[in-house]
Amino acid sequence: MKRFHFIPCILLVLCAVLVFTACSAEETKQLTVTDYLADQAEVDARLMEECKSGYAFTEPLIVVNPYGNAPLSAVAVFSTEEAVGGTVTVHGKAEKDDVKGTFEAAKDHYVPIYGLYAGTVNKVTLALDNGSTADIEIETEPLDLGLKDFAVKMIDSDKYDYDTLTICANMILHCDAGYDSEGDLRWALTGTGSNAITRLENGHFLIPNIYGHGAEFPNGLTGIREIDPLGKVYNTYVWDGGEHHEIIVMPNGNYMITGSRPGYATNRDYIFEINPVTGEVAWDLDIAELITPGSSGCENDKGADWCHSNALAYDEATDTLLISCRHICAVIAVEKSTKTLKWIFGDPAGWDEKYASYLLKAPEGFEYAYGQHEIVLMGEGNLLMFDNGEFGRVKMVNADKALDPKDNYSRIVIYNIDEEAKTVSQVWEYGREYGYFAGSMSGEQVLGENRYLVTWGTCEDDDGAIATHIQLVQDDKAVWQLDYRGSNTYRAYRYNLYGGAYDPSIKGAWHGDMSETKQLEGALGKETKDAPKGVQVTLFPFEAVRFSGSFEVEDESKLAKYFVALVNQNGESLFFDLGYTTSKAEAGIKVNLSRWVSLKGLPEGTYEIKLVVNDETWNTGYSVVH
Amino acid sequence: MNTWITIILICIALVFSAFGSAPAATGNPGQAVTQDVTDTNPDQLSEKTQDSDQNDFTWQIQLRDYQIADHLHTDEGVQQYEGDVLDVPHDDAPEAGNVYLILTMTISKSRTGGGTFSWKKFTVVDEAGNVYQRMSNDSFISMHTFKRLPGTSLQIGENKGSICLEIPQGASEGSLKICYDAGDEGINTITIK
Repeated sequence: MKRFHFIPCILLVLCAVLVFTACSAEETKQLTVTDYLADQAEVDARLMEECKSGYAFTEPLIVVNPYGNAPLSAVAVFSTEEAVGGTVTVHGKAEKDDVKGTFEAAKDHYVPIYGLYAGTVNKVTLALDNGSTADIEIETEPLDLGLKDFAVKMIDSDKYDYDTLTICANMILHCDAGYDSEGDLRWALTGTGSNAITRLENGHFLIPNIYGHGAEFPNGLTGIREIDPLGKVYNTYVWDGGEHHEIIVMPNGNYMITGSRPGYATNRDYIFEINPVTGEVAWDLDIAELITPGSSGCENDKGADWCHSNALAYDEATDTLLISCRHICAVIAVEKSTKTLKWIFGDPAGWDEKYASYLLKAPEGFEYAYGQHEIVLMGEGNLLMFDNGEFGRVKMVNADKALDPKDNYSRIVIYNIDEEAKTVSQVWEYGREYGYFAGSMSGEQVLGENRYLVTWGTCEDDDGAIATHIQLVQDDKAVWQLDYRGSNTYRAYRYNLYGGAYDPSIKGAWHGDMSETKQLEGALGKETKDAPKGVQVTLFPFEAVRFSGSFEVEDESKLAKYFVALVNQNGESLFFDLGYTTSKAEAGIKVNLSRWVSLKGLPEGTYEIKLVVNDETWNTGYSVVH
Repeated sequence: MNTWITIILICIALVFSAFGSAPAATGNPGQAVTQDVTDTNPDQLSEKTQDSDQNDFTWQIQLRDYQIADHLHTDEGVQQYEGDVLDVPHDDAPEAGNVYLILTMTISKSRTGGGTFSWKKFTVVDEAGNVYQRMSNDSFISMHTFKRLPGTSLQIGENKGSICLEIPQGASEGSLKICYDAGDEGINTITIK
């Protein structure tokens, strides 16, 4: 009788254990790494495999948008018996808008094709240097980037350069877009950080990574990437402090970048020099060690974004790094090797006395720049600048003289600076007469002698719509103008997309990490529940977990200090801040997440990922191995 | 003896329920209002309904999930320059009497060379034999958190994503199958429901 009950009891217990184990196993899934460079390597491998099939020159394999981020680009794969180079022509609606390029001699060809129209069957001609030609058709999908009301004015076609497209960086839309002389969209790169674009000698671009660091700092991006116009990424650089707005290439090949204080206690007040080979920070500068926050008398010189560095220029002859600091309405000059302040160029009104000896002196009636953006060294002491005219063109002490936005304007201006005499004078200006007031973003690209591309990127039309005005300017006269509405434009550039290196055999590389994330005191909530479906958790190759997405709460009383909790096998928890912003939801408040937690420096182990919200612990359903 | 049988049956039921309970299908946009969403495990669905032997085809089609919806609504949070998040609502609905059929698939090229995967050869056939094609422009599904498959021909590799068709509501209530005309290789058929 005893035996009869004993066995079933054991069976029941075993089953219960099995059930418990099975249920537990379903509770958390191990996060796998999201790695776009690995996905890209898979595409490259497929392209190279296909090439072995020996596609003929007259019937090449055409892959549109091979990497998923350049919808108006394609690659033609074919083989020739002899090594031979050639040309590629994407036919425009008119011949003047043909987009042409060349490719180097080879037997196996991977020819990038740039300049396709959206939503049509494009006619493309491939021509080999041996005289053979092939006409092919390439179909593309319609593409709506969110911009509208395009208007083009061709003022002087003789001075227009048809060999280049106008490339616009649309930051809020996370895309870069290229337009021809008719304002037709001919190139796009989606999913980008899209503020400054820097062209490298190899034809690739340096652009920001798309991810912001934290909710309190949306436009500080985790770093930069080297990408070609076909959308292939060659290098991704990540570091604590990230990128904000500017990347320049130094004479030694390093990248100089405006960024934020490591740890992000303040932002946009740090400069980083990144070694492109190792990804290491080779040099950095804390602007707050040179300028005390709150000492400029400028309206926005306060809080975490007191400085807002947004542009750089470097003079190798004098080892001088110029930094445009928008929120102190000044450009500062720093001797790079010693990190010493040389001079400050900005309206002296309201500056703290201790900076008097650094401020450049200007003649009577001189017009300073306010909230300025892109700066370019022009030689012989000349400095080109986009003067936004922000803050009503005054410092706070003169607030009563502020210009109304409808009377304000933005311009490009060349100043001459005498470093020894510490004086400044205005040499030239352009654009005031149009009355385009772009309070933020915007810039100018120098294209030759007295030739510029000027971007007024954040104007407001009479009906309140955000508008962009871009002008190609030669000898103080507009040659061509492109206007559109729908979103702002950080900067625009004139580039020929061809001429760069594309190589599917090169594997993209990750460099750097997010450093250690500061741990906080915390405790798990008493009540445990599943995290809302809108919360997204992503693991990146540089061992950082990104929290994104959103969820809704009933009212403000439900908003709290939210934590990330990483719970190890022993039940011990590590806590990190989970920042958020809020927006109005249909019924209540929407909580929007955008936060990284780096695993660097944590003890090895497996961690369950949880969120702590008020008295509750939310299971994300994921664990991560470190 | 009856107790034995009862206990064993309970054990079997317990184990089966623990291992057999599959999570709900993925691919359902969080905020989407859907008329009818499948709750079938996508992997099981594919395995169960793969009518054709995929090894026969250069282009292999794996149906991972499907959804039928009378409209789609998503509030997209667009982060502004200064950090504010602006909710942009996206609403899409088919013509009256129709529903959206959203298919989530993996379409892979099994060998090099060969032809392309053309959407013109891809159809869905209902119980009555009516044939439906992919919408000429279904890019709107990207706004509803679906990763969309390109609308142009597929050329290489493993392509994962969703497409959308618009079909009569009546057709959505009966059986549906995918037919891909692979030319000399034959017709690749996959039952959706």
